[in-house]
Amino acid sequence: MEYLTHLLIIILIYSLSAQGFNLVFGLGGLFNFAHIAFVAIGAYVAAILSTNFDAQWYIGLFTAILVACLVSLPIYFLTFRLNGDHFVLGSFALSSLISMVIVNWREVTKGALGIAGIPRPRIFSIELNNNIQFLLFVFVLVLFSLFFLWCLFRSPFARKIRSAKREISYSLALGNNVFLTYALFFILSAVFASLAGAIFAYYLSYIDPSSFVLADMIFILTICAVGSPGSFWGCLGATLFLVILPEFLRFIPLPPGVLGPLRQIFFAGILFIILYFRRAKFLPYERIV
Amino acid sequence: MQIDQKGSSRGDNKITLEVERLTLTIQGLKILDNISFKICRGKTVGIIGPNGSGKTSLFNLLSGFYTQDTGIIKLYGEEISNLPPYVRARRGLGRTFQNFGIFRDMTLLENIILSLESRKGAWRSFFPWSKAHKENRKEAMVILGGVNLENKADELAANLSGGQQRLLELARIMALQSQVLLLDEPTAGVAPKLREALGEQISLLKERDRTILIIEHDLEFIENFCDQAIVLNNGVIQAIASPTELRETNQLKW
Amino acid sequence: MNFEIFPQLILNSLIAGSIYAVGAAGLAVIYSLFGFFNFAHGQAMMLGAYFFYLYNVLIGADILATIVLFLFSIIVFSLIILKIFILPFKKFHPILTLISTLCLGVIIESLVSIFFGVNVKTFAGFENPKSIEVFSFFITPLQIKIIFFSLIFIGALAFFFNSSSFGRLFKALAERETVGESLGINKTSFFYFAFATAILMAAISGIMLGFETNLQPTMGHAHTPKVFAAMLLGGVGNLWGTIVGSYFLALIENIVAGIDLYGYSLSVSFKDSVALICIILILLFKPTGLFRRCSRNL
Repeated sequence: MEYLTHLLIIILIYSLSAQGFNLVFGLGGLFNFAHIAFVAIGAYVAAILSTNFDAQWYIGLFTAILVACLVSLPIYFLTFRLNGDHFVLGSFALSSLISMVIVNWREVTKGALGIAGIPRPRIFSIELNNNIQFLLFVFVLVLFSLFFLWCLFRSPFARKIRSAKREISYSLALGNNVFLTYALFFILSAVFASLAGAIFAYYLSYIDPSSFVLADMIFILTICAVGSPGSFWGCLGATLFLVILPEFLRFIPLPPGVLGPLRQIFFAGILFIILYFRRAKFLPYERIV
Repeated sequence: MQIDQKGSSRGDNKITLEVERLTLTIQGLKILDNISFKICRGKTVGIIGPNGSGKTSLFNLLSGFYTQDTGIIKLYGEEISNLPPYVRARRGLGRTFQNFGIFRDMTLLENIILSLESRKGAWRSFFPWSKAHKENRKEAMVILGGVNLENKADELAANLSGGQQRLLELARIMALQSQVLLLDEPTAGVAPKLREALGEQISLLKERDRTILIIEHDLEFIENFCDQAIVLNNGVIQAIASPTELRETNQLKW
Repeated sequence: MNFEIFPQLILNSLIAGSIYAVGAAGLAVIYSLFGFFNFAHGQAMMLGAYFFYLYNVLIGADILATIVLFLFSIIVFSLIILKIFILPFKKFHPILTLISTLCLGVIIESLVSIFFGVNVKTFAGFENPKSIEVFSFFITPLQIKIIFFSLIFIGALAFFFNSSSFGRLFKALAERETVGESLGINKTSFFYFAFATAILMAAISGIMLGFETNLQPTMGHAHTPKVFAAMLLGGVGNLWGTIVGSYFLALIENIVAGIDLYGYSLSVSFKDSVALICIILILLFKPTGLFRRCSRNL
């Protein structure tokens, strides 16, 4: 039962993060490599506020989201000038930079040691130590977020950015301020990424830089790719599928140095296979009106 | 040079589109040289010329996708020379594209609704169950019905034939209710039967007092719909006259 | 600031720059010809080092046999990569090949981790590490060899792709594929050849890197941004610019690492961030690179 609760919480957290990525990658067609960096920012801000400043959970969440939004704005300026693959390179560099800042700014983030002892949220003076209580808490948060996201995927804004994804000129000729639309979606993507990160920090009570590495970025990308980029339900289903699937790997007896790299090969392999077989229609359409 | 301003039963001689001394050079090649003209409200003007004479470049300049070297563009007397394309579109300058300016990954209904939302604002119809959204859907179906495409409303635009795509593009621009329209080779790639439908739509636009510029190679089309025609050759205006005059004086030598 | 360290600094830049240059040259070839960013380039470098380690240290072959085996492995490897990871996506958006090479890089790194283990390996016993003191700086015979060989390889590559008739073919294909094909060139074998050369360059620079810094499966990961920065600095697709950019990048890195920033110990870790900041700044302000001589051709 504990195991199931744990799985459910992880699935819920990843669903937020993946949908956030889906907003920019699936709807907008831009591979934002720095997505995992925003998850990390969300986690660290929440962690620092609750350990160093004894802040309440809602302050932690709010500030985490705020900081991530502020940091995400410069990325928007990258899109101003770049086409797709240059954007990936730029966001990759930014992601690595943020990661480096986290590891080296030891006064604030305690570097590679990580931040421990993050207290669970207190709601009406009940501390959510029980994982089932925490599950309910996360479930409510995620439910509202997913509902908003569901509306967003069917909203006029989604249509705007989908129109700009392949044919920017036609979208501009329609009166659509493409860059503003992309900015909006970047900010929203950062909101959900940082929210996922903050909840993650509160759940595990301990975070360190190793949770936010390239492998995790590929994991999110794989979820989005498996679930058909731009599809709300596809992304949710893929989250469920891809979080549960590698759990079966746990039951195979493997020497310790092999499990980690094997997981990475596993996800990279899935991503490649999906990419290979769907290469003609990788950024497909969606009928949402 | 001024297009005929002798006033017709429609319009009140108000100049909608004005261009002064427009010059465009791309990578050392002079595409347009000192282009000037004024167009009155409600007029339909054809733009004809051999391939490479700069017709589409002129449209790109007018709609804001290229930046001119020198010259001024005015819409309803206000200068728009430095405005980005989406601002010009919002001020009423619509345009079509040679390669069918439709969104192939979206359904027909979505294509039209995109125009409606652009015109009316995206915030009103945010929620899928909102009244504004339902009204948009109804209006989109009506517009699609106007071009006889309502039975394909949920199909992807990529699945349409060339002529149908062109009709969709026109429908989309009519949904935008732009006052000034730039149509780039509307009959290219369209089967003759669908050309009639196209012609009907353009006549409808003329009835609603829109100002239209049409780039075309089909001279019969120009003669049927345009009051005047501008002949563009090698980036320079060679002549401005009514289509029949042009044919008679055999200006169209290429 | 300690000015006495300047000659050593220049020297370190020469060495590091040589390594970057050979690697970045391969990257530039790939971008020019295929039009995508090879995110697995760092891992290709790492693989070169590990192949060398495998043949020379683990199996213990002599230097000639090692070279032959090494060449063979790299060429086979590059052909396999091209066929599976790159050619299928060539007709589509370059972002697909980018993601594909990203997967490839992760797979390579994980496989090396599994088969060789994550412990640091060295080419120990190969070279006598005693430094020679020349003027006021220290250099080992090994480092001299690195610089020397790099210059040879880069020179050969540049001559090959720029001046020879082969190079003209390359430019033709890089510009317009179908037109180049109509000239009667066998496009596929040409692609294979060019790609194999590029990966060979990466592998060789990996060997040199292995001599300098010893082997770890993650060593490629840190170098991917550096070769990218070198290529961007020189202008994407401009081979000479890439070479200059590599040395330039190495110089800036060493200057930053050598500066005593108010006693902050961040200076060492800042070294890696130089490349990243370069990438961002160049992409934001001068995507065509610092050298405007040739915009897209080699």
